[in-house]
Amino acid sequence: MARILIADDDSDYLAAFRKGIAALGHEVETATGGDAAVARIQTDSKGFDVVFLDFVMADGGGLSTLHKIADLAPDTPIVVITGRAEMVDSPLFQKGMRRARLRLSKTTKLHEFDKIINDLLEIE
Amino acid sequence: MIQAERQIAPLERRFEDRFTQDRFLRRSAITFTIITLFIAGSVLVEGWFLGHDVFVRLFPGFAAMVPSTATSLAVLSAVQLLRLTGQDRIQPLVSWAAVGVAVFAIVNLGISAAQIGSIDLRSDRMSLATAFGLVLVAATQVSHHLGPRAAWVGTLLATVGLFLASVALVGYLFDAASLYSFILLSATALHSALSLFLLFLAHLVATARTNWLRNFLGRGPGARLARLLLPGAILIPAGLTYAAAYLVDTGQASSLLVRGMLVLALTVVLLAALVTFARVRNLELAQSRREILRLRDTLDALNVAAFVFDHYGRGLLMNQRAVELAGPSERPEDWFTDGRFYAIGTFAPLHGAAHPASLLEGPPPEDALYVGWLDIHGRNRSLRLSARRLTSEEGALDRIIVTVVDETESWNAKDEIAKIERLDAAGQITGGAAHEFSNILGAIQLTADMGLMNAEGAAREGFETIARACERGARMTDRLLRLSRDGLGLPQATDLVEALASIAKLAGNMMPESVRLSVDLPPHSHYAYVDPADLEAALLNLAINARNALVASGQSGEIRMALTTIDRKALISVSDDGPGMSPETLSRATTPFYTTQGEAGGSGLGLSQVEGFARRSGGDFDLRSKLRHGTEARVTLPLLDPDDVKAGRADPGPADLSGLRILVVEDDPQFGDVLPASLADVGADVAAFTNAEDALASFDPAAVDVLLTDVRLPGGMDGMTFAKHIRARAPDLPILFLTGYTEEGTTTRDDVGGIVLRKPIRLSMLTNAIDILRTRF
Repeated sequence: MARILIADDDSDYLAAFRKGIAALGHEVETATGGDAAVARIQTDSKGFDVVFLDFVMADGGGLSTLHKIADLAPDTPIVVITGRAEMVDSPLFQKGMRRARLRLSKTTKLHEFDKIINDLLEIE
Repeated sequence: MIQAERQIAPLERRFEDRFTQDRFLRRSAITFTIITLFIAGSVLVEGWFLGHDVFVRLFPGFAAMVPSTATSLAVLSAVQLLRLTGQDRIQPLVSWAAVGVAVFAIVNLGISAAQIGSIDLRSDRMSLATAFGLVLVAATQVSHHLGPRAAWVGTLLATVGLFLASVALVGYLFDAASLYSFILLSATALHSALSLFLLFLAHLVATARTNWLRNFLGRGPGARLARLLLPGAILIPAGLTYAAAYLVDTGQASSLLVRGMLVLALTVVLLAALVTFARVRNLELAQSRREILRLRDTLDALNVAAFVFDHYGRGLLMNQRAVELAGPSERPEDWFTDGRFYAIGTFAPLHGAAHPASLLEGPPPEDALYVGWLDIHGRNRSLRLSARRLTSEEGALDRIIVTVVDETESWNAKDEIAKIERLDAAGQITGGAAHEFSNILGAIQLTADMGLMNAEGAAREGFETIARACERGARMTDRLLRLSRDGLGLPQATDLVEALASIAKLAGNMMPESVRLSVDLPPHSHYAYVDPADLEAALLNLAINARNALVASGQSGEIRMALTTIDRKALISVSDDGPGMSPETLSRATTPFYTTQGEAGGSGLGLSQVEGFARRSGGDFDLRSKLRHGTEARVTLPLLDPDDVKAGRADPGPADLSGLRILVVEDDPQFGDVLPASLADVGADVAAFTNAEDALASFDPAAVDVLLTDVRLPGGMDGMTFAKHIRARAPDLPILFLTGYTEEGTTTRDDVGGIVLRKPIRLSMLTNAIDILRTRF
């Protein structure tokens, strides 16, 4: 059982993710944007085990959100999820993306999420 | 041109034709030699054999041509004749004959020299001068064995010989009696001297193209003048001297006075020649000036910028358009070497044959050069440069004419840009759509996965179906993204041979049994500056298209993948022997989303991806097809210099912007986030704003080196207006505009200036653009 934060501006995906990960037995908190995610971490007292972050959100700031979260919680692994793998792989983004532990596609399956969360927890 | 001139002055012009001249020279040389052979033969046969004294000495009391001289002259004439008529097979024999004559003459010379004190001046013998002359003729004839670079030796020997023979002839002309009392010339027969004269002249005429006689040839004004004055130069001094001698002999004037008059007359003749010469030179200069002026008038009427350079790449003139383009610089060549040129599309600096300066040296390339250039307002222009080298008939008066066409606003360029814009748009739309689809599919996927954890029986089957459909959807969005890669990839020096071999292997796995794939690659590496993933996607697209065409036709077939290189370009060809395309299908083939395989799952982006890749990589794509005759797709890519690749110079990467202070105004949420971070990565000091008002409020001209602003900005002020305000406070600040693919215009207004860049932008392109903009002209 792990405490997980997910930031995503797509409410359908957010809901499906929350239910699915909760069904796996983890505790899930959600944020609908980058700023909300940062605020959630600042006010949180228990600490998250893994943070999932959608890199391409309508209000932007994916890269700066990544940096802010990494600064606030340096020990928490951050996993970037995106529907646009080709954009994240571009040289413009590569350097900034180094602070993310993993990059995952939006169409990742539930049992793959389970394995990734467990692997990240073991490393901790 | 030549036709017209012939009509104007048939005779004179016809002689100026090089071919006619050469034929005339050769015939003259042969004629002179035959005359010599005839003289020597007559002396031997008619004179000595049949005993007619008139052939031996022409006039009673004249020196005789002795049999040894006649024989030597006959042999040397024969040698000369064989050489002139090109009897190559017996060349060595002929040369040995000449050497034999020379040895014989030297022996004669030696014997005469040994008894020089006791020679009877009036005896019939081979004279010292004749023997020396024979040696010179023989030496002239064998001198060609020294090779073409020593042609001057033959020329020198023949010229000296010609002069000596002339001395004897002039001696006969003026005072034969005293000629005989001069030991060296005594016993020299008139026809011996004439024969030697003709042989030397024949040699000089035959080799006129390589000796001083060439100044009489050709159509230049100098040659014309020389030909005009030649008879006078020979006849006038002789005529004047004869007249003087006549005056003295008849006692009409004293010898001294006549000498004075002779001096005066010769001086007048020389001065006249000098004046004529100077006049011709001046006329020639005026003529060439007039020609240049007329050329400039002609060029001024053209709608392109034209520069004229001499053989050494020194500027001779610029037309009006060229002055407008390059500014009124003192030396036009400076514009070619110092102008701010860059590669269109990447803003990378230019080197070697790709740089306009290369047009001024070496043979001009056949293809036009397309380059980007920053004008005096700092605006980016697209130029097409082509060079022509004009060579005169003599090969001496080289002119290089470089014409420059500004393609920035031309229809052509607009069409190209529209094409690329369409591709960019297609890529962006697909990218955006794929993102949305990922969100949708991801939500369905996770929900179905969760259902699978809890459900049993029929419900479980339903969730499994949903999960499988999601997998297919995920693969599909992946493929869409790959097909429409929007150029954000990282180009690098890529070995095409190696890349094609591995792509062919991949493509081979996709082929059904009925389709054979063959690969034809050169043995050595060839490098191009491309994104390897882009290249792979492009060639796989082509292979898949060919495969689908063959499979659809229901026949077995062959796909051929080949790489060839021409000059500095690589040609990658993917061809099939399938059904081919009709002209209508072919004309729309590269349009995004156009597909003939709608049902079979084609995205319609394949060929437009290939075209986009080729253009981004500085190359070209074309498709040739004929119904029932198969299809050939050809991608041409510029090749890199292998030495540059080995030395690591081929991969420029982003330019270093260390210490440069950049003001960024950009409201796009994704881009506005990444842009400052990326610029900071390459060393720039970045201040970022999301609207123009804030940026203007805190603008300090002394603290900014470059301004980078989006054209479309939120609030009341757009990028252009913002830049105008900035211009008012910092007139020299380099400005870059960023614009989306849907917006109009690729250049800025005169009062603002600055480069316009279209999104999406590569970091290397952006940093190159900034780098080139900050280097002031």
